[in-house]
Amino acid sequence: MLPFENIRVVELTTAWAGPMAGRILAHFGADVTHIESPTRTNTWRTNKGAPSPVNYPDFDPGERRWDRVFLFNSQNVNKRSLAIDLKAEGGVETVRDLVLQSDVLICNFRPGMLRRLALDYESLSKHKPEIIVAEMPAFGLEGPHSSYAALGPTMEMAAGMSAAIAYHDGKPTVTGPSYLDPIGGFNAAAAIATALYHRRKTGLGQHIEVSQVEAAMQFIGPEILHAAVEGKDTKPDGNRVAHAAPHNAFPAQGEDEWVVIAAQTDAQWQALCAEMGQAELAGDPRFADVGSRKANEDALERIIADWTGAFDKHELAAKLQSAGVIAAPVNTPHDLAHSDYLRARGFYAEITHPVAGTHPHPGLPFHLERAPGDYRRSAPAFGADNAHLLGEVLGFDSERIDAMVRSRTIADAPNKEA
Amino acid sequence: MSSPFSSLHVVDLSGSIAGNYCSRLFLDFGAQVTLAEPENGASVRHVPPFDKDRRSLAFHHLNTGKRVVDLPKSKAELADLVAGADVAIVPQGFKDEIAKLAGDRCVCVEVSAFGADGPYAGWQANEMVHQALSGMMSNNGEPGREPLYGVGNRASYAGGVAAYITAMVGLFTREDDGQGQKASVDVAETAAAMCFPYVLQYFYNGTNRRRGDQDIPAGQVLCEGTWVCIWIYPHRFAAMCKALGLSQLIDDPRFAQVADRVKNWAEMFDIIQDHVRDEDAEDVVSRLQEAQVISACAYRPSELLENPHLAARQYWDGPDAQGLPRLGAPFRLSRMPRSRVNEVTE
Repeated sequence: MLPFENIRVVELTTAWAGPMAGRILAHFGADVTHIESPTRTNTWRTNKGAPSPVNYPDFDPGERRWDRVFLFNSQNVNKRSLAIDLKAEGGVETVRDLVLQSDVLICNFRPGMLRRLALDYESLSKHKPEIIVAEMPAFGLEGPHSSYAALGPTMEMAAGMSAAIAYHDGKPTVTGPSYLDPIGGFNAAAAIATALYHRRKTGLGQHIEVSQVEAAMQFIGPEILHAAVEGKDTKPDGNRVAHAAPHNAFPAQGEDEWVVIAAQTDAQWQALCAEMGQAELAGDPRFADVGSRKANEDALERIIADWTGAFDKHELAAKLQSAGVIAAPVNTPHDLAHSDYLRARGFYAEITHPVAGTHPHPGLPFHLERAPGDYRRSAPAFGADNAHLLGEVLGFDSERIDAMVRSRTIADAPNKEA
Repeated sequence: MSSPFSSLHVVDLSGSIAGNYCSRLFLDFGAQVTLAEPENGASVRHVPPFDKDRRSLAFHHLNTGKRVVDLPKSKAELADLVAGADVAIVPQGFKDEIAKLAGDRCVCVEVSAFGADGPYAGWQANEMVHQALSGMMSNNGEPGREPLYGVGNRASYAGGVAAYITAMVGLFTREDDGQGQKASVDVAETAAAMCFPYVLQYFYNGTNRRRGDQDIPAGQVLCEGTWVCIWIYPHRFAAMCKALGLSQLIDDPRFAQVADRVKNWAEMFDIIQDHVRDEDAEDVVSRLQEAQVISACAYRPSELLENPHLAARQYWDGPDAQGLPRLGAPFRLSRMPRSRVNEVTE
């Protein structure tokens, strides 16, 4: 039995952060339903504009491109889809019925949406005290910026990260390109798991607020405290850091291929010199210790870059690691797909999607001996579980379901360009 | 009723940022956390940045408020330390031994960089290595220049959250049968799991996504020394122009159509930059958000300390005994308020 097998979750989510939280719960067995709108399609379904072929299997959007896109299909594995128009008659009431038969509601839309729909914790808990409602606003539910719209990159900026990442004298840089989304997703899953444990012990649900910006600030807590201590910020300088030299990415064989190399100790530097076949550099006073290497970092990096360019990044990193030097290839998607390390971890699962076909899917990093997660089903096609949820879970008769189909309260395809 | 966490005993033997952050989350929500530290000091005490007395701010951030004990030197002492622990956070190679000593009810989570086996067993890691291997780093920075790894130790903190989720699942499962279990989390695998899912795109059609393959409709401008990022989706262009007082750009032939704007993107942002250079950054963002244009200040860490929004949310705790602010909770639980911690761990 999976740990969360008896937990039912409803997601009012879009894009990445919210769906990733639900995906983690689904991985451990929760029955997760992603509520989707036929009139305002999840952006990760890519229903607007001309389809970009690179998003689909074999570059073919097919007739149901929203079911074939790698974005949605990556984050909604193991879930169900209920495609229902919340603005149509009976739409919200149906979702509310489903939530009241569930244990957890996850929302990553802007603050205020749940309250408008009477799906907020205060309203729901009157009927179901054990409900857990997790909201994931970028800036929190209250405060002067709480109504601000955000994306992963703008949350990374607001969290104090991007300004600390830049080329020398360059502009703030976003990473990932949307690193804050999975950080928000993981934190929301952690918070919900905590609340589920609390409920198991007390029988009570609760309200969770995951300000994604605040959750992420923890990840650079020491850097924020350093600014408090110093009264100023450390100026970013590419990959260079104060405590190590070299510490950078260097060109490797091939187009836009790179290998990272770092020496945090003199021993690592001496080992690097030996590997470069330039043992004399270890005795060069310009590079004698971290301080002198920092002072002569331009010259240091030129020497290394002149050497690395001839080597395959994987082979060079392995050779340097064997010699005690910190190094790694800068992996691309192709490299990840062929990673022996990730395959050794069982990271990829072959999953068959009814519309997108059979492909390996990236996994999650949790390994419990008695409570492994699993891959039961692919991401759902749009509205694939309408009949199951309305009929078997909510007990609607077929006449009522048919009427909802006719009025397009529920749908199995999104409206055009919606 | 007191929090169910108040009776949870967590022992952290990990000696790592990821392990320490995992147990910090337990501390945040009321568990009793014991940190075992070797006689010559935990390795995290050597993680930068440092305060003026060369004390690690990473150690401070991660471990303030935990009960610190000497790392046991004998098996008997180790058994005493972990006896009755609900959760043990352990370094690579200690899962079996500690789980045995701690007893059947313990959830024992091994936290390491790469795990005990596999092709990277024995490799040395730092943040840049994790970001490089995960696929994340290849997305960062400008095409043609070296990719950027990021800042701090974000992969390790993510590994800490993953270890916490793992431990919570173990505790939840224990409620069924009273049994703990062994578990493991690699920072490297966590980092890969958090990478944008371009690897699925690769499996779908062979695309090997690289930096610069997609134009992001955003740009940055300096407003009185603070960076502001503006996202200009096609349907919000006119709204942005009006919000910034640049209505003349709406019909400017250089920018009127999407294709024109893409072609003249840098020129457009030069105009915006000149216009807003002396404006207040918060005011610019506020006006843009009012017009439903996504924008944000790219705060420097020091700017967060004075940030009015965080202040209004009563985000900061402290100052603590060391005179430092304490960051607010990573998430807020209505029935499990975050523990107050005012002592300094020594």
